Amino acid sequence: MKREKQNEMQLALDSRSVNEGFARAAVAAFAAQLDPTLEELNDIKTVVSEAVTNCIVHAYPDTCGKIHILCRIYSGGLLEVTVRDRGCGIADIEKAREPLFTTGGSDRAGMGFTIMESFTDGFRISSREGRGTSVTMRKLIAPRLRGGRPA
Amino acid sequence: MQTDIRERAAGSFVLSLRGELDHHASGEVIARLRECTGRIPFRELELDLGGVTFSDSSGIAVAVLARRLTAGAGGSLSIKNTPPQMQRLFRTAGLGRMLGETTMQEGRRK
Repeated sequence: MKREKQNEMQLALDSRSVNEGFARAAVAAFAAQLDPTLEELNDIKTVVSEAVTNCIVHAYPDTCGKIHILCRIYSGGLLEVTVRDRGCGIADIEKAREPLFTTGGSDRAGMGFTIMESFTDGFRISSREGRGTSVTMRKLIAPRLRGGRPA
Repeated sequence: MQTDIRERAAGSFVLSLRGELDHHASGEVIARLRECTGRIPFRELELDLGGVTFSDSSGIAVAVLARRLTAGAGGSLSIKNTPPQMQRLFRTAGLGRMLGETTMQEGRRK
């Protein structure tokens, strides 16, 4: 089914940890027009937080770079979020996607990609060493019945 | 994120968290965990998550580290009042034992 783009929002943030909360709140506010349930909204906030934290911790470990977030809403209640950086890239994507694998310290669980995959309806990652990483996640927001009709 | 440590009996601590737990906040939480488990005597830690309004995988890392630090100090850990959003995270990470009122008894300090 061909989906039609209905709305779009872009953000560019410095890779500072204090921006994690802002990033997930901004995407959640944009997604609110789809009338998600609290659980769906929490899933969106969680995966955005994971993707943005990866940029801060792994893509720009010793520098402050830019994190670009692109949000699109398509017909049928589809939210697509892309989080992109121009950081160091991932040498071995398959290894990075393994649960519990992390190159971070004891404050990282190594569950970021597992959560991004588990909490969304579509997950795609591309990366080149020295060039950066792009993660795209799709979440279908089910229409809720209002007075017997889809909202 | 706000953290509060209460010593309810000698060596028995309650660490309560309030607010959003992410990578930005986890540094302070980890420092508080180390503060509790580094006390002498140390017997047990209750991690009260009832005030956590959001968590990403940093919450998983905090729970795993809390278990490691309490075990390393010869004490026990209990995690209380885990919000539904964090329960979903813990289940995804295969940490079912850390849910709810589960208590993890580890070897006690001699």
